[in-house]
Amino acid sequence: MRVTNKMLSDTVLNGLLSNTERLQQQLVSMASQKRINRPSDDPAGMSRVLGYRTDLSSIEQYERNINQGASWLTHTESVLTEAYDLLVTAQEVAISQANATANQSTRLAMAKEIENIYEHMLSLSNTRLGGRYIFSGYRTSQPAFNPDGTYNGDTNVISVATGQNTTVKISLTGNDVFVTTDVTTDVTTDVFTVLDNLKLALENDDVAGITGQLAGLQSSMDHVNLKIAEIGSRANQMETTENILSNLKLNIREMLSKTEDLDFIQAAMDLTAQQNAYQASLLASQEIMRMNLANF
Amino acid sequence: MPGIHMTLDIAKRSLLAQQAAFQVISHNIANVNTPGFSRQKIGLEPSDALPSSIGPMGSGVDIGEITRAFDRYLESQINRETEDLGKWGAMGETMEQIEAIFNESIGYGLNNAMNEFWNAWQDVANNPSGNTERLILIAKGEATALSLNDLYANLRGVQDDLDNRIRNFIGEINTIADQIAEINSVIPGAEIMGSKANDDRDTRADLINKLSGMININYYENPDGMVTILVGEGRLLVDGRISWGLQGEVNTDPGSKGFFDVKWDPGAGGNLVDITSDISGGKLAGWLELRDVTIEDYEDKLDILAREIIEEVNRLHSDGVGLSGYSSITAANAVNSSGDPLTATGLPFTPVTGSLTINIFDGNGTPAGTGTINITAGATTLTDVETAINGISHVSASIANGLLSVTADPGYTFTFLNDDSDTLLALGLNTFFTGDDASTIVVNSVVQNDINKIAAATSNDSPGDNTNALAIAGLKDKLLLEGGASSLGGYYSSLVSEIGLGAQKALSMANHQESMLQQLENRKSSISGVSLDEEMIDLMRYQNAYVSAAKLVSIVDEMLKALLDMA
Repeated sequence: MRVTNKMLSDTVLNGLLSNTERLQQQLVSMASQKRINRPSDDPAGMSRVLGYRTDLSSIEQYERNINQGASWLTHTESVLTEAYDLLVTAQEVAISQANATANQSTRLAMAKEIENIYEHMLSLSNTRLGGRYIFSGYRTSQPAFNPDGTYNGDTNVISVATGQNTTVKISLTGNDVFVTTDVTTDVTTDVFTVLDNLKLALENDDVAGITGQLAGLQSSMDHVNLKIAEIGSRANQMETTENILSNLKLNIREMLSKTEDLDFIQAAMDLTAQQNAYQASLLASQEIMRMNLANF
Repeated sequence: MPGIHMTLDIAKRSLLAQQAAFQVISHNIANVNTPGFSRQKIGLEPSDALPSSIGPMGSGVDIGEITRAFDRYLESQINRETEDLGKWGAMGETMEQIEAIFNESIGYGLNNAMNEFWNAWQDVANNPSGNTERLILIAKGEATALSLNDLYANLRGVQDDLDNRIRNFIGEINTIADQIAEINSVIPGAEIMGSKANDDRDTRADLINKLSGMININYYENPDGMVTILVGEGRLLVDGRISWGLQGEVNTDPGSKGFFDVKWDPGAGGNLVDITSDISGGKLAGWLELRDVTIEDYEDKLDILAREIIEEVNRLHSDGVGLSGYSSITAANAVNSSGDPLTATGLPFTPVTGSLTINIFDGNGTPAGTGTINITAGATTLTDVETAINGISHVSASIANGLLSVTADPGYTFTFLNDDSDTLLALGLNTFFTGDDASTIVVNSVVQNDINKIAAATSNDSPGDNTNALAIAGLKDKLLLEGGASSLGGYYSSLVSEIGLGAQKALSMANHQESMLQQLENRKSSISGVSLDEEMIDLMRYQNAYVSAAKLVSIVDEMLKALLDMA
């Protein structure tokens, strides 16, 4: 083949250009630490990357939802424990004042105590978290119970999303916690009515009335206890979900990294190879371009 | 009859011939870097022999034709490949520009904006009465809408830029056609003696090659040495001394974007012929395909995505209830005529048969009445809706410029619920977004101005109700597009990967084409290119010949002197 000067210089130029182009791509990857720097670097990989990022973003949101839900549940649990303790105190008062050793003056004094318990119970039932009444159902801007003990909320339970198509109930409604209906006898017991009745009986020195509230107190305590257990199991459920999510997150992060991140050692070696190739072509061009019969 | 004068004459013509060869060599050396130049060679031939008593006797050298080393077949192959390189090169370059628009690799694109938007709905669900969550939701909604607007505007920008380039390019093509016609006109005159107008032919071949990179052409050389160039499907671009022009004409078809069509001008006041669809090679083909097919398709897909987001979010949102009711509201979407059925009056979304409820509250938030509006697809008009609302106490409706307004009596408010007729969605009442495609999507100014109008609930008077927020957040994972095959995010990521594939294909085709062309150019260079070494050696050869001929003259001179001395 007849080799002309243009062929030589074209070959040298093309070699240099393609070498610098590869070098530049390598440098972009090294700087970004990413294998995929634009969609055409790996179209299918790019699509997977977006999918993984979307999944991660969902998981992180579910984790936030769970944190939020968990704080509601913890708060609710501590309120219910406190309510239970109040009921225990009320029960002790009722038992001791139903006893013959008590008299009108102790009962009058204890009526005050029950009144305090009533107020305390009312304020517990109207607990707010982040400005929202937690026992009012959806009507979170209004106290759950009126001072006379009537329920002011609705029967809706608030849920948060903990996964695709999965929600966990994070609230209990006031009329579910503080009002209980005995399944067998169908008798409805309302904590506030029981406490109010107990207070009235104490004020009136009415021993039969005092004794009459014991069953109500007991079923309220049982019911609150049941609700504490319910909250506990929901919190467990959330914790399990959180563990699953954090494992999932780890897996997806790993897959994301495998898809988009640069294998640094490989890249560093490739870079050295590219540099060598570039230098070699520079050297060659220097030698070739100098050669000319006119120089001899 | 051999003689001393004959020898002198031979020596003279030899000197002239070597000088001519020198000139050709220096022309070659001078043009070693001239694009399109073909190496020229002088053809020296022995002069006709003269009869003599001892038989025909040589009479020196004659200068024959100066020819150029040129392979016509190779050239036409190069031109064909140049057409393809022009097309793929133009596409590759522009696709790189497009994929930069959709570059999601750093993680701050539409994908991220959409994810954050759905998460913001989750946060509102976690705290439906929280101001911060609602404000963030508005910001994330705006970011999503803006992202879509930007992507669309950028695509449209590339499209407009291509359109501009196409228009200017038509002028360049015409200029080259004119130049070729001009060269055509001088060639027959220059070649009248039977020799070749080498340099003019080189210039013309170079122009034809340039033209191949711009548009697909066919060409052939006529016996008179002029070329005829056909463009597209056999339309004359150059014929002999005449060149026809191409023209860009704005497409005024309704619904078109007003881009330039490429038209062929038959001259003599004839009608322009649209040859846009005949252009299959050269940069022009690449740009036309991107402008009219590829980018159009990406834009359509963005529109589908944006429309689906608007439709699904708004359908749920319009059916929900905010923290406060409306004292008045005006629709975002206008009807063409309030007397037409809602299903056929230019609304961006189409209502179906069903009903919706309006609940009215007094100043204390106490329910003060409710009304149901029935919609029958194909029958109910906006005026019917207006009449129905006016039939409900404490609210009134009116229509201005095709937009429905609903107003409550002073001190009263109203909310919408249970719309299974898509009427609110279609009219743009109580919606989160307004608009109906990627360029028009924007957060509804109603919720933007009053975050309490964000409908996180599906029941009245329930600030803790997050069911609607949860439902809207759940749209993220719903398979809403491609007949239930992909989610909104999935649809977008396949668009990004489609664009990546498009860029990858165009770039690798351009690379492939380039290396193929390089091979051919090398072959051409091998045949037509100037080798300085070769020219140097030729130079030496002719130099030696010249020196020898000169020597011959001086020897003949000495011989003549000797002859004269004899006298």
